[in-house]
Amino acid sequence: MSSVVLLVVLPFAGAMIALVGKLVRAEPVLSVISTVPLLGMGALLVMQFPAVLDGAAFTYSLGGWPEPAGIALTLDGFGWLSSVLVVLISTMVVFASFSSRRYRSTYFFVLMLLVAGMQVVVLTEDIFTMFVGFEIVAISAYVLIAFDRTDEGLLASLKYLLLSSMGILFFLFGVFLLYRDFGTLSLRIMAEDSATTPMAEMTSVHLAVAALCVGIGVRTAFMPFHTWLPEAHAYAPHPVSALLSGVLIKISFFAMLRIIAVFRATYLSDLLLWIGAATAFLAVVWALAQRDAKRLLAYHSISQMGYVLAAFGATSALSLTAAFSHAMHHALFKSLLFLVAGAAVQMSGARDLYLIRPIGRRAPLLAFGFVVGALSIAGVPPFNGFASKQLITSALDHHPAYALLWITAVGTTASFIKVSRIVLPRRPAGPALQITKLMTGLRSAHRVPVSEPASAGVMIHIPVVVLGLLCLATGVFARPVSLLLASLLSPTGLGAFTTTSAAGDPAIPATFLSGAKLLGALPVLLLGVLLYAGTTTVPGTRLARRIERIMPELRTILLFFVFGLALFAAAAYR
Amino acid sequence: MRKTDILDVVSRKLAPFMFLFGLYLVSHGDLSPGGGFQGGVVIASGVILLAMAKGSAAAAALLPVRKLAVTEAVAFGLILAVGLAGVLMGAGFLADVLYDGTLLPIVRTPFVFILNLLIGLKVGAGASLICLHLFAQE
Repeated sequence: MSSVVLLVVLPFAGAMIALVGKLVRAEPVLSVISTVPLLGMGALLVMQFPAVLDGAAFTYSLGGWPEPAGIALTLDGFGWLSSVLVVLISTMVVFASFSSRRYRSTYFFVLMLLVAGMQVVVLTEDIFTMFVGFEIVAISAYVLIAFDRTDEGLLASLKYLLLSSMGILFFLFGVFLLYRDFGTLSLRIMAEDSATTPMAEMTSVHLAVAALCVGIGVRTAFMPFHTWLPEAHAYAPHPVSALLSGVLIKISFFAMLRIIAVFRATYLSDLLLWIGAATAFLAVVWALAQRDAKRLLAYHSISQMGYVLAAFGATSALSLTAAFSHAMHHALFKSLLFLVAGAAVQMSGARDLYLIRPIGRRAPLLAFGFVVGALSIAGVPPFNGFASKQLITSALDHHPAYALLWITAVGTTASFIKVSRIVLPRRPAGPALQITKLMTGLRSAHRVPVSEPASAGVMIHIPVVVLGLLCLATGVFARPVSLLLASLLSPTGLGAFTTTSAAGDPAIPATFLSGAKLLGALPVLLLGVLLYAGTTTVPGTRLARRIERIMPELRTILLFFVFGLALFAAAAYR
Repeated sequence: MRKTDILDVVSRKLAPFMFLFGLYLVSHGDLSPGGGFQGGVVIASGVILLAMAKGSAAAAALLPVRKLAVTEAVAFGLILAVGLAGVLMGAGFLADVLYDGTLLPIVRTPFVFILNLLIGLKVGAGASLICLHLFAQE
């Protein structure tokens, strides 16, 4: 099926068109044309949908060379979902990029290259090609993060470059070990070979899987490999932040799922569960302490990925569906939040939550979109965050780690009351004014950059409306959506990883909006309001400043890498 | 720091041979060690040698930045086109569309030669461009 290869080649063709755009007079026209391949990819994915839903997996060997020598691309339910995510969010980001009118064809060249890299990562069956895809993604991400050439952006990009190059070396080391043992780079053949070998005899494979997990973990940014993410996502150009937080970190997570499934590394699940819960909790503490709107959102990305990881680590009947649905929903609402926050920052020129001018009156539609995103991430019914958090609750099923996730939900609610400053027009009076004065007087641990106010454009409304509606739709129709996810995922090899019941029915709850469940969301909201009130008191703000300053240094993080490798490898011998 | 004439003379004498060796690697990649990427990098290293010894202006006079940029974009497009030609002819992406089933006494594969040539152009132009831009910023 040549449509599989087109899914990878089309974005490259778009990048090529943008490259030509740099050289000719019709630069704006070619910038627009360079993004048209996204539509083609969308159409191809829609055309493949019925077959993929039936459990078909299209494999395509590049150049007609069969595997082990050649490189195969596979489009199955898993690849289809990941591709849909990439295409959908990229299209939205392209609209937002056109809206600000600042980006020319060089930007679209790098953007389409990033899309192509992500497509390579999700569709390839070959682990070295996956490495190449990760590098294409990383190099284009470095350029995009620093694209506005602000001091913070350049520094953030450099930090990301240092850390992710270190991380990818671990990945490459894992690839080397696997090639040494299996004599092939094809994941499919490795899966067949390792299925016949007893676990105990694969000692170097355990090390290889650990190295791959660390390498990918740096890109997925779970703790303690997360330190590059807040800066990279906060200081990147606004549409790019949406793409990075929305898709990029999920792509690497999906790659990790694939690798864990191929080597049946079920022994990692407890470790992943606890890392996920700890990541979710710690990241939300840091998020609450932030005063830079986009940094706060970036910490929430780490926190929500913690949720996804914890759900996946639970290895219950639901966990794969729960992890996937939260990853998808997070992609929708986080890119929405980043786009609106970016527009607000652009319109007022300030990123500091206490200086930003609320956009509620000037751009009511954007403000409305933001409220939808905030309610989704805080898990308020009937938005999609509520639905996927329900699935996660059932997947974890009273596991002790669930307590951490519950506290995280409280923190998430509190911090989104804090961010609502960027939309709600309010006049500080009396004690509120005092606090605001105190906060503006207190120096933040990080310099909060200021830029010239500018219009956010009209086109930004398209992605905001579309993403907002999708957030609502996936929340209201949570049951059909999660059934669809489950049926797309179950025929793929990943289904074997989670202990699905014999019938293959992943036990999706019959209803997502029952009265008891709605009542269950109430204490979280109330405690969230209380927690927010707590952070606005004077001791609360002092504590927040103190937390904000805790930041591991680069050399400490390198130790974390080695420590993480040992931890992941040791998990096999528990 | 004073620059000696030795560097100047040697680099001017050496650079043409580096270009030639790069072209050799590109054109014989289908028969012997080498290939488009390697040859392209050797060509680019010739450009870099000139740029370091004689200044980036001199190197840009030989290979103008704009022409390099056009070459890179066109080669990129042609690589994609050659790959997609296989799809159009129903043979699959990057399939050898020139192979007619006859085995030649010397195993030259025109298709691989064309691909190597395009990759050599793309890599040579791209790597030279990166360096010329970096030198120009100093």
